[in-house]
Parts: sequence; structure tokens; C-alpha cells
Amino acid sequence: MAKGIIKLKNAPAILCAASVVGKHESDGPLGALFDFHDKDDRFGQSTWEKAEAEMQHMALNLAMSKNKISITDIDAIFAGDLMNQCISSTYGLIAHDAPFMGLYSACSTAAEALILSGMTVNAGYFKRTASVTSSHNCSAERQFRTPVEYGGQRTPTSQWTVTGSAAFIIADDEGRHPRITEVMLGMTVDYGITDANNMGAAMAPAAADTMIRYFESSGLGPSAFDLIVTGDLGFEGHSIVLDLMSTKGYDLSGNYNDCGLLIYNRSSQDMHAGGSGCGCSAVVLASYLLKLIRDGELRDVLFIGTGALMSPLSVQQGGSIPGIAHLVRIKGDA
Amino acid sequence: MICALGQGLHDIYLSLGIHEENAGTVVSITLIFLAALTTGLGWFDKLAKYAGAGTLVPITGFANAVVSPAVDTKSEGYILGLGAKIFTISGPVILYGVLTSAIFGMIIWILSLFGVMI
Repeated sequence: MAKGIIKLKNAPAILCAASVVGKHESDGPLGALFDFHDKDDRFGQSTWEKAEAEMQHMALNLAMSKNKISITDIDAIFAGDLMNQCISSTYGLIAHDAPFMGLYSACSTAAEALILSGMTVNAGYFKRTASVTSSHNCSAERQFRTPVEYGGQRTPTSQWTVTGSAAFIIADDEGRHPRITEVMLGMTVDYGITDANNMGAAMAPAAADTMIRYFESSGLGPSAFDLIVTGDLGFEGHSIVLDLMSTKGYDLSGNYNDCGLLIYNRSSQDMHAGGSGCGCSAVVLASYLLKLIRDGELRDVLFIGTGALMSPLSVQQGGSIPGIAHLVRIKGDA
Repeated sequence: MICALGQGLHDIYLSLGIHEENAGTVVSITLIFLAALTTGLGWFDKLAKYAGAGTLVPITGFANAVVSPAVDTKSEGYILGLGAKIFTISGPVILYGVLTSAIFGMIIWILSLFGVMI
């Protein structure tokens, strides 16, 4: 095992995935690829928090139905979200009778859940696991920023929390599926950014750190991959990563993208720096990226979930915003 | 835009026979009511997006700052939700506004004792 890289010899399959999103996401360029969208982001619920929980419930049900598996076939669920005490995951998945582990790694939770699923399935502890994450713009605004109806101005570097949830079923399966072949855990990196409206800048050094560690350990360069995609750095973070990597001698200009840039049309949807949140990278991977991998258009992808590990409390007390980036290498089974 | 609306309302109230002195107050009350109403209907944040500081700085912004947490926290109940959190945004303005008024009042009073009238 190369330092830091965990090779999954049995290459667990991403059996199926499903995505559930809100209105803005379905209006975006990937709109047609999502499995379900709700017109008013309420998902039939009375509060935004319940709406987010309902999204997780729906995402897991949709993912299981795609492969006609039931909850009794799932050996464990790894799930997380942005809410305090991970209430969207607990309440959303409470009806699913399976062993459950709640996760928090801010917006990199999707990658963290995939890593845990991949490692446990690879090791043979579980035959099938579910990785589920979500974020909801309104519940996140309430917890991290201002009331939903407050008419404040957003800064150009601010990102829009994605209303979306995705569920992935990871399994020990012989069929032709995208497979997780390697994972690498992120390390917290803190460059002293204190602006909660510029999380792309806070997370970008963590993404660059994980990429550099991966390239140095594996001996591979950026050109070895069809696509290197980060979770939710947005426009600001994406350009910082390009700069940081080029100073280290890595040219990412040809095949580097970011889920926060893919999910919205930034100018026509007025999304400032792009999308963010646990749901951002999750729904883009579940809908768009996995489709390209299944279709053979992408064969080897580095999926790097990025998270800003702060709370409103730590920011108000003047604390800086540490970033983290978890890496998952996904290969097509062509 | 809001100023024009205010002037329009002012003229209407004058034509309805409201005294010049009171017309300004009635205009303020109307604008506060409209800001609170549009916040409750979910329109204010969209309007503020385009109108910018024009909506945020004057009394309309303050009305929005009180009503938006009220709408938001209603789901946590009328006492611990709405009641406790209605002033989360406007609270600092109210607190320090009252405090500053009291301090300036004291200064003016002390100066008046020495015969300095402001």
C-alpha cells in the first residue's frame, strides 16, 4: 500500500445511485439527469428540515428500486448531512431498518460515505451498503447564515447550498458497474481563511494537498485521468486549485472540473461562485458523472469531496475555516 | 424606487386631507407594512436582490430584519421559536440604538446644567 492510498483490491461496485433535487437544480444544466425534483423544495413537508430528511428517504428508496433490492439486502447505511446532530440522516432514514452510522464531514460527506462503504465492502464485512447524503438550501441558510426570507446581499464569492440528496448502493457484485478502486483520506488543512462567504478559498488548499499527496504516492500525473473533479469549490476555489497545483508543477487545465460549477448555470441562474453543500457533489456524481462512466465516456475519474469544517459559532468567535478533501478513484468497468 | 413610492404615497395622503406633519409618519407606517407583508409572502428577498441597499438600508430593511426571523422560526413554536428569535438580526440595532440614545440624552442633560443648549 502506497503511503496514504488505500487500494481496494476487490474493487467494490457502485451498483446503482439515485438523486433527488430541488427547483434550482432541476433548472440547471444537469436538470434532466436527476431522478426526481420537487417544484417548491418542500417535498410535501411542513418544515425545511423535514423536507431535507424526506429527500434522503426518497433518494435511498429510488436507488434501491433501480436494482430491485430491498432494505433487508442492505447490511449498513453510512449517511450524513450539514444539520446539527445530522438530523436529516437520522430522521430521513429511520424507516429503513438497517444498521446506521451517521457521518459529518461538511460538504465532503459524500466522499467520506463512499470511502467507508468501499472499504467495508472490499474487506468483506458487508455485501451491500448504502451511502446517503443531503443538503437543503433553506435549512442550511437558517443554520449557517440568515433567515430564508431575509433580503441581504450575497457576495460574489458566496456559493449556493444545493438542495439535493443522493444515495449510492455499493456492493460486492460481478456485473459491469463503475468501481471504487482506490481511496485516500483527507487531512485537515487550515490556511487561516475566516470569511464564511468564501468557502471555496478555505477548501481549495485541502483539495490541492490531497491531490499532491495522491500524485506523489501513486506516481501518476493529472493526465492519467479522464477527469479530476472536486466537490464544491466553486469558481473561486477552482481557480485557486489550478494556481496552487501549477506552482507545484501539475497542469490541471485540461481535465479538472468542479461539481459546484457543473450543477448550475452560474450567470443565468445568478449563482455567484457556484453550488456547495453535501448534496452538491453527491447529486452530480449520482446523475451526471456515473452516467458518463457507465457510458464509457469516462474511464478513470478522481472524485475529490471537499468540506469546510466550521460552524457558525467558530466563525463568530473569529476562528479560521479548516478544509478537508477525501479522494475516491472510480473506474469504469469496460 | 422605494423613495418614489414613498413620495407617491405622501402626495396621495396629502390629497386625502392628512396634515403635512402626519403624512410622513403615515408613509413610514405604510412602507413598514408593505415590507412586512412582502417578507411574509416570500417576495422581499427577491426584490432586495435587485434593489440592493435601496431596500435594505431604510425602514423597509428593518421591517424585513424583524419579520424574516419570525417567519423562519415559527416552526419551532411561538414562544421558544418566534418569541425568542424574532430579534436575532434587529436585536443589536435595537439594543445599541437605545443605549446610544440614553448616552446622548445624558450628555445633553449634563451640558444643559452648565447652560449649554444644543
